[in-house]
Amino acid sequence: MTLTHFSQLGRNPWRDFGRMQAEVERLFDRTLGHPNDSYAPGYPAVNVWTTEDEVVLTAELPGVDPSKIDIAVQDDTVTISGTRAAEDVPEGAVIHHRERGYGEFARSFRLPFRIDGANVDARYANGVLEVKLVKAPEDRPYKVPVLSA
Amino acid sequence: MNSTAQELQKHETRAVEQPAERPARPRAYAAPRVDVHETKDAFVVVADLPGVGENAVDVTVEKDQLRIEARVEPARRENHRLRLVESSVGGYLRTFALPEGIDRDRIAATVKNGVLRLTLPKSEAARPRRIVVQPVA
Repeated sequence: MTLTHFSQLGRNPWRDFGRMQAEVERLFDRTLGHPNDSYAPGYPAVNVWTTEDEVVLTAELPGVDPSKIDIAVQDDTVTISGTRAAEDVPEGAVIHHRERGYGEFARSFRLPFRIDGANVDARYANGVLEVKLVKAPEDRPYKVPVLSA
Repeated sequence: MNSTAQELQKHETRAVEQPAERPARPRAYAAPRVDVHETKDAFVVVADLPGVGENAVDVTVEKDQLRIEARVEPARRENHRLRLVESSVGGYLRTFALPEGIDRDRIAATVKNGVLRLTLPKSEAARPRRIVVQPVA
């Protein structure tokens, strides 16, 4: 038996994920007013895993106070933002390397389903933020009962 | 492929899509980003090692080299497909030439939230000393 998606015949909703991702981020660049560097914290490296109903997003955010991480969910978009404080360097110290970034970061991801905002699980351990997002109930398949007439 | 190219490949970090069906390939090591500053008493090295807990970091001092090495445990997600990979780091590795005058026995290391902080105290002899200029009597 073949399964037919009436809304997206033959399309894998994840196929365009990367492209939509880039578009949302371009929008963000203009909003924040500064170019996104290729590195965290302005641009934390993110990995995304999915199942049918769930998305797990991991972001590398070492040395960030978890209370300074904001996760906002709206419809099909999740936005992770926050601040990483600069390292305290004593006055008069000589700086030999300065490679780690600090300051504000923000990234947005648009998923191919609406997100259940009441059931977002977010954990921070060893400098990695892990966010679990599930499909909103209205986007889950609804089983229609067939009654005999 | 000759062996030099193979060596180079091992040290490259690549972002790649890995469907769950394919066996995991050995993951590359990356050099962690560091901040290093020097005060009159010590050198301080701060390294970003996301995904690394304190038991997974190895800091070794050998002759005149400081070596930071750490493994990242890959997350086991049996039922999930990997859709976007921006970090496929298997571990971190970076070595530094150790400056002279470090008191090796007092090197201290802490790991918190994926950040390694090393304090390398200067030995007495290496600290800047103020020479008081005496007036000629």
